[in-house]
Amino acid sequence: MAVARAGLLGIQWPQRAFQNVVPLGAQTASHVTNDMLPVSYPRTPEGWAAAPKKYNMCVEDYEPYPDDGMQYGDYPKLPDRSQHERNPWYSWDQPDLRLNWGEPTHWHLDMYTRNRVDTSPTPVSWNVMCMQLFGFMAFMTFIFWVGDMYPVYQPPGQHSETLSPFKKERKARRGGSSL
Amino acid sequence: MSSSNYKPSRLASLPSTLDPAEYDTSPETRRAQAERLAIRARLKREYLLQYNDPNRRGLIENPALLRWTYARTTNVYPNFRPTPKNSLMGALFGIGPLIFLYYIIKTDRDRKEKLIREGKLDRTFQLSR
Repeated sequence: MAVARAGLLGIQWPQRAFQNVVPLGAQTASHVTNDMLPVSYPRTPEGWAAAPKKYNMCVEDYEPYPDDGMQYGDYPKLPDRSQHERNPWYSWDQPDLRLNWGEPTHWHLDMYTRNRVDTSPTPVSWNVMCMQLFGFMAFMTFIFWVGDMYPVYQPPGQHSETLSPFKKERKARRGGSSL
Repeated sequence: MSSSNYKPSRLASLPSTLDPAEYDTSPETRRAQAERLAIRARLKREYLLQYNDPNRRGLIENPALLRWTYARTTNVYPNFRPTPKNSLMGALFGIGPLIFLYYIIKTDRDRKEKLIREGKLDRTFQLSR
């Protein structure tokens, strides 16, 4: 155990293997302390000042979810934008999530990943798109319904291809009537 | 065109080019942008120091992700307070489906039982008797 950083004179390769080993119990599993974790809704001015620093945000940007018992605590309310909208050409620390290390993550990040909900701007407003789609569907449904009520067929008749040779000759002798 | 009639919605946000805040160049906005950039640069530096450290062997833990996980799991119940909205949602989504399914299954089975009692159900291939 004393091999750790102290560095013994001796064989090189076991020492190098133990370079990163520290005596058991000397390190914690995580570098996150209790004051870095989220708490309940900030009620004191100290709480309001400490929260944005904890979440690596500007004081102006920090806005917690409203305190209506919906269990958000002091977690910041970030704009509801999906990861699709983030710059694809910037060198993110996590390129697939388009996320940087330490950046305040949205509460609904798992919903806003690039496999799921997309809030990117559309070419036309949402209500215009809805009107166009549902208007077209409604119009076509109406037209098909009208067509169902008043069907239009060609008058029935005997086509010469379906006749037997005897009937074809009789039809030719009669003058080629279609009936 | 002087103004666009594009209206943002929940699933279609406003593009930055149509957002008047994008063209705001007042000193306060500039200062806020500089502050945000400073925070981002500091985080990037901390990350890259850990990433490129030759002595690092394991993963780099992301405190933001840990806070996110903690907020969504452990920090939920301590901040719970029963409100009318909470209670209604709990009743509607928690207990509602159970009662609804119970009634559907019960009525269906009662109807089948009645038909069997009257002998009207076709039980030719019924294996369980």
